[in-house]
Amino acid sequence: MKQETNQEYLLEIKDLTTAFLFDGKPVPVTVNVSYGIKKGEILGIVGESGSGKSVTVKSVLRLLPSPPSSILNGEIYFHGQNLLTLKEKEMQKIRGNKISMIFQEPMTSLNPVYTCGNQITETIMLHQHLSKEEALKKAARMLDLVGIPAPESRLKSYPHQLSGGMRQRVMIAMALSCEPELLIADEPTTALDPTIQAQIITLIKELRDSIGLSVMYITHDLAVVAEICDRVVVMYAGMVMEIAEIRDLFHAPLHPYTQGLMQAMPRINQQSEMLYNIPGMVPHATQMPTGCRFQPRCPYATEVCSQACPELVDAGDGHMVRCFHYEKLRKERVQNG
Amino acid sequence: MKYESNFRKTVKKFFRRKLAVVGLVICLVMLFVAIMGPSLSSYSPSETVVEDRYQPPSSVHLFGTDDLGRDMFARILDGARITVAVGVGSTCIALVAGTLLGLLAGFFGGVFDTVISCFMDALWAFPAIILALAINTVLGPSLLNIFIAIGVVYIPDFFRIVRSRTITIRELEYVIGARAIGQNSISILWHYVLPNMSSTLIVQTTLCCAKAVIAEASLSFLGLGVPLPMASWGSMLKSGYPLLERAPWLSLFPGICIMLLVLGLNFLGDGLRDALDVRIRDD
Amino acid sequence: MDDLIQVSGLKKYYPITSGVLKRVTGHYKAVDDVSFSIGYGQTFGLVGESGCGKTTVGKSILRLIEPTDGQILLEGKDLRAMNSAQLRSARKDMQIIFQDPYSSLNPRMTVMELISEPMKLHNLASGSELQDRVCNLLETVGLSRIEMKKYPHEFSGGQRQRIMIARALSVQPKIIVCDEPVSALDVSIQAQILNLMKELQQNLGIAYLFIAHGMPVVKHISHQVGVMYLGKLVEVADSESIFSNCLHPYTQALMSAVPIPDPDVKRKTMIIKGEVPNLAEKQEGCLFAGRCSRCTARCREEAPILREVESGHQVACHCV
Repeated sequence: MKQETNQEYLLEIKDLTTAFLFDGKPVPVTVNVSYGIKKGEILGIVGESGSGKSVTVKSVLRLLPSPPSSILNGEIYFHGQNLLTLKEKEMQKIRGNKISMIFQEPMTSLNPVYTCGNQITETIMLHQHLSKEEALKKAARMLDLVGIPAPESRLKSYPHQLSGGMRQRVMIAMALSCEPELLIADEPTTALDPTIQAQIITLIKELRDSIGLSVMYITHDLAVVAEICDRVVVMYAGMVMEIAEIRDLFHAPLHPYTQGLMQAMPRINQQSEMLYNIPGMVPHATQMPTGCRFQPRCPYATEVCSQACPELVDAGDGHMVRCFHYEKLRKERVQNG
Repeated sequence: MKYESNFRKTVKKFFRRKLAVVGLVICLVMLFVAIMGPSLSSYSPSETVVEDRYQPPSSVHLFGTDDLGRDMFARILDGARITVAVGVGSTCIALVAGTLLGLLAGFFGGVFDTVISCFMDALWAFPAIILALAINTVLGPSLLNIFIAIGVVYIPDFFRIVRSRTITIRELEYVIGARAIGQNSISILWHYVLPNMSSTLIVQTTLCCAKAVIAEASLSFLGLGVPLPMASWGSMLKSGYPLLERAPWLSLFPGICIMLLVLGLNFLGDGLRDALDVRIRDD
Repeated sequence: MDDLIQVSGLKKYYPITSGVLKRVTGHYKAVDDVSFSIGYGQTFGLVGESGCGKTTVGKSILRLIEPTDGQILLEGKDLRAMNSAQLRSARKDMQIIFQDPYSSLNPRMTVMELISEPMKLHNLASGSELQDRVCNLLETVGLSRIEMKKYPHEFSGGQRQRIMIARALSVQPKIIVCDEPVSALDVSIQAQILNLMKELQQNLGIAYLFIAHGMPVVKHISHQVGVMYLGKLVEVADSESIFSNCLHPYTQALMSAVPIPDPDVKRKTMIIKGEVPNLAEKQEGCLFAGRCSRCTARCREEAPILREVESGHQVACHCV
């Protein structure tokens, strides 16, 4: 039986609820998360720690150990196929082949006892049934693609012989070696210096343009999002709060949380005495407030907010927002120019 | 989320491990026996009854009697006192000396560290039992000397662990921060370094106790154990050995007791290690 | 007005040894000839990429790392000439807070113990007065007094950083060295801590040496900014001019790499090419020469020195 899916999307997550065990009881850490990514799109997933952004994408690849985690509800469609119902064997054919992932720590995500060449060819040979020489040639091509000079000699290097930026490039080369349709990047530049971060961002954009890669880019940094993404999903406390095109989000954020995040950021091109700050902190998964999850920290909160959780609704032009008061925010923006 | 609840969490984690609980029960029973001693039995461990020689285990003599007609059960109870005392005593010596040297060597480094480490490596390289034998021979037979002989052998165990933990903790930011507020080295060692390795030490102490019990049994078996008329399980094992065919219970029961105690201590140690390790989570 | 802290010619070399005999074959120059000063109640931001020596500078100033050479004057007194007793009492005036709020507090101490320890050590208060002062400090940093009996692991990252700040404040220091204090925190929490630090500076007149790699944060909090590259200061200027008018090619590249949170601004990132020189080898000329687009023959031969090109704006570059 084939479920109805949005043909526009390469990957679509529907009502995903993932739970973790706390003191023996499963507690949902993401609730009814739904979003999709189009072909050739760079989709940003933004949120602070504890927002569930990483949990969601790890659920996509089924990388979360179970127990303690379990998927309580939801479907994840990739080419119309629900990934959650696949057997582990079939899933292995998708992981690293159709969908690959890169992580935050390039130090620990490469195996220190093998050369880079070894690690890249291993992935290639696993999925593409090439001979050793062909795989090596391909690995060199991949390193060249991600801008590593003298790729043939670099294949013989061990991870510790490379700098942080180089290692992240090797990770990307490895992730791209099987020509995946989707790359999931989990905070790929957070641990890197700003100049290296800029290079990696440029690289990912170039790859999207040249090979039509779709990228899910997870980060907590809105400035990076503005640089690289086409569309953004804002998550807070395990829920999607807002989904919008990049320009709409930055020029007219409709969720008080998104607005707060933007104002809390120090900017290089303006001087302000004090930063706006969102009071309080992200609640723990076991102590979620009633109603809207952002309500205790929200300057717009009214009584209704603590009584019911707002739905994610379309506020026009595909700009989705989960807030009772988004019209008010919109009006205020118009008034303030 | 209180600190007490954290402690309770550790306790809960411990009690969820069946073997650990078994170990704890064994150790508590042994400790109780060692403290109460022969008063738990109606017989005296030293009373010889010539007519009752070589009685096999029965309802009258639970563990039988030996070649002098002494009740074995009473003797085992009496021997528990010596065995446990040697285990605890020698571990204390190793713990205190090893920890102190390890802290100083790890924290201050330099020539002191090099010299002490070299010495410890030499000590370590020596087969434990031969070393204990040598010390025991030099010092002569007495209970205190057994403590020292076995204690010295296990100093490097503690020294190594404490030294490496100290080197790790020394570089942590809260220790650097303590120096920044003007705290002196002794204070830092006592309030910052030592408390943060307490769980490692607790586990190591339990396991060392088990090793000390074995070491004592081995020494006794070689005739270098506690001097007569004291009798530990090890020395009972030895005295029963030549009579193995005639009266196997003479060595069987001390042997079982040693095995139980060592097993109990190891179970306890492993359980504590899991329970105290924050990385291991049950849920 | 005299400066609170004056650092001149600060050097930290690590010997490189080889062979069994540990013969010193060279020096790794982690910090090489760094000079700057910080005024009372001012913030000096120190930026640079990882491994540029900015943390070493911070720790050397407090003598948590023993500098190889140089002079550090705290209100005119030479810290390097002090014996250990004098240094211990001088520590009252200077404190440090770290990046990682998870490893910077002793997990075995309660909040009360953590905050009262420095005061006890310097005999600043005891008994009920001590308790009162801990309460006041907790309120100052935005925590409640009920938290006093808790242990660090019961707090979130932001709260721990507040405890760390309260602990540093307890001895009423004149300067706090802040080593990446907000890098590990979420955006909304980062704003809270930055605001708190600014407020404290305004109310108590504390100076900060603010070490970070995030430019917007440094710009927000600093009065003066120093840019470090491979152990050397390459540019020092007041916060406004270093961000609007930076002169050193390295600073320019660094600035161009900062992402701007506006999708309509398309910045041009200057990609720095070339290899980072190996500091263990003897270097001639400017350290940035091999990667600099404006490199000349002179740059390869002669190391530029930090000189004032405009009022209050120092640059170490031949081409400026």
